[in-house]
Amino acid sequence: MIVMAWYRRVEIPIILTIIFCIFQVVPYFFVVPAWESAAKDFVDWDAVMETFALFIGFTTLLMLHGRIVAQRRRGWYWSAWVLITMIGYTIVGIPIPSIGLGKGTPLFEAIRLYVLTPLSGAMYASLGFWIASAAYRAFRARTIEAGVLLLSGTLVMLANAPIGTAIWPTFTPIRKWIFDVPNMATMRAITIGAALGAIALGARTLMGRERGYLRGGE
Amino acid sequence: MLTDWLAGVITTLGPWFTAFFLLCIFSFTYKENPWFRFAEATYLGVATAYTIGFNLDWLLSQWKSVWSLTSTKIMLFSLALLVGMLWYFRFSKKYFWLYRIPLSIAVGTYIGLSLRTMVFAQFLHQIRATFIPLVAKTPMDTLNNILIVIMVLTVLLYFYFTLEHRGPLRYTSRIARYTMMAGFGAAYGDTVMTRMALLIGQARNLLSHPPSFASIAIVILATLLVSDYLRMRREPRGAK
Amino acid sequence: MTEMEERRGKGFWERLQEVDSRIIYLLLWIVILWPLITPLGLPISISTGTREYFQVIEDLKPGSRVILSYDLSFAGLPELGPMTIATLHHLLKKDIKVYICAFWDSGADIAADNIRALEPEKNYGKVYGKDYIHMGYNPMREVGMAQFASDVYKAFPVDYIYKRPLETYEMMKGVQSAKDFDLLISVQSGTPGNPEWVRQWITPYGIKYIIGILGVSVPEVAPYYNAGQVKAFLAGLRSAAEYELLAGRRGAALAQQDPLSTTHILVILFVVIGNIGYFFTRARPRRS
Repeated sequence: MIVMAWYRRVEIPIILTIIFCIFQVVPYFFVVPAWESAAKDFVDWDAVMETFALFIGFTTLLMLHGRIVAQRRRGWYWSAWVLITMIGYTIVGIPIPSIGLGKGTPLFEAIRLYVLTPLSGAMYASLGFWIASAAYRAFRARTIEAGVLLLSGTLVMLANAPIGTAIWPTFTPIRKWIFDVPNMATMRAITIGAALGAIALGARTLMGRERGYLRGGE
Repeated sequence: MLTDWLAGVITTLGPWFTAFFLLCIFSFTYKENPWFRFAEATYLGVATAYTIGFNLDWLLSQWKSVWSLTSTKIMLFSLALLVGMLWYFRFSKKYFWLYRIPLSIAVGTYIGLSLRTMVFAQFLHQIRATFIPLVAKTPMDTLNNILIVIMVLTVLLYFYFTLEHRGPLRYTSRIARYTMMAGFGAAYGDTVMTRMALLIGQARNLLSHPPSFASIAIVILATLLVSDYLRMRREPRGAK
Repeated sequence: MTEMEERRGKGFWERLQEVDSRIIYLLLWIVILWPLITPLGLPISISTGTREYFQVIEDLKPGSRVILSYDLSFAGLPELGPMTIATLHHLLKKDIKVYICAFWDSGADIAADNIRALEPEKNYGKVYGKDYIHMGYNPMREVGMAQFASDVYKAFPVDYIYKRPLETYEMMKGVQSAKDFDLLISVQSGTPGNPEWVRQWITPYGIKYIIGILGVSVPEVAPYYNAGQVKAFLAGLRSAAEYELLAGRRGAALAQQDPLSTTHILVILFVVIGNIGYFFTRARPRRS
């Protein structure tokens, strides 16, 4: 039987989680000025500590695409291009303004404006095509419930489009009613449910019952 | 300086770059193709690097203006750096346990900060806001208030999975389903607005510089059509 | 059976149901580009929600301190960009102090772009550091918002434009924490966004709070608006256009209203045709 060294045991991070959670919760409910100040200072320290994780995404992509390139897997040249652009722009972002590198320098800004901005915008804008296609193929009144969904969706669309309100201004109050009554009721119940779920998850984490976030390793 | 020269070139060719990348992505609507794959790979690389550039800048400003001022702060910053380095043991199976230390500190702090107010903001406040007068100033408001109370309660009951939806619960779950469908319909309508708005915005971007838009669109479309034509000639219809 | 024979064997509605997606995409391109090239100029009515948002800013007393947080991405720019620049324009027109910040990295750059576009010194007679300031970006999401609420200078030690310590600016005198602000405006793409602000700023400090959101986020805001946690909000491109009219700055949102109409009509037509086709094909037994 393998006996795990005490410092590797999962109980230690659980205890740390509990300590740091309580550290933030207590000063919110009880007035202990020194504790409150320490908790605030700790948040500042935690912010810096967490920022040091900034290369995790970079490292993950480096390992993933590096492996694809090394093994010459299908489409490896696209992975190589991911690595080139990522490493290249990261170098451009290293803060050495004297040689024109770093955030805010002309090169960093030019790439941001003319490469990143259109790419980012186009990626999400493409969803417009899929939603139009889905409206044609999938938005069907197969049941009464689906009919209600269809009707409500169509009324909201007519209210959102200037042509709809130009033809019949009453679409605006109808939309407001849908927003204020059925939509609000649905989202409120979901918000309450989600809050309950989050509170339960937090409590489970604090009791050491929820360990999913610690999973991994040997 | 080379960097300034490069920046100048990119800025001068700015509208061409914009049109090229937009059309590369939109070429996916014709079919999956190398133009799209190129733009997708570029996006992945550039977006990751952009975040790094930003965070490095923030870290540097924190160091300069807060953490380098006193010896205690320098020590605390060094400690943050040391603990922060443990994040990277995520990639080691053997030393993964070290990664759990910064993670548990971050998770504990986050839970503490968010849960303390979540109870009020998203639970108690929401329940309190549902306790509204059933008889209001106007008949319409009265009807709406009654509907809100019924709808919130029935949707809450709908997600109460401990009880089987039989007997009276069958009727409440039906009301809940209609309520949710009306709500989700509104969500669908609003989603259409966003998706179309994003697309219209990019179309406006393209039209702001017609020469780049037209030339690049012709080149991309021509290559796609020619490649399709060549493929069809290689694989005649009906051939397996 | 060959493909052609198979097609001939199907009815009109069945064939319509199987139309190539690319035809749908092409139609969408046409209804977007056509009104952009030849605008239709349809009238726009102003909704009560937009009036509420406008009124909250309009009612600010001289000297009020207002935070404008750019919590948005480059992807959300077409919908949120116009409302952000119109809000900044509205704020700069008034005798108030504007504190710009961002909890999304892209937001900080978008804010800097907006400042450059509006030229507050030239067009509004405002002075950087005295009337408005760009405090920069905080990457810590909700933790950062909590940090900002308790101590502004810890969350944003230096300003974004000149990288000078924040406390050296005139307008920072008397500003320490969330309690010192009169209004919080956040234009947001997602997380961190509304629930995080409500948890860290609105619930503990009770500060007045209005937001600008993507259409897709509108349903999620409903309970917060109903409970009074969000005082007013701009919902997507339509509200942005209405607000541009109210704030007196005609911009991109108004220019995009015609294609917004045509695309919506097209989507509604797709829904209608799709459903008619569905009912006809459902009524008819399928050929073997």
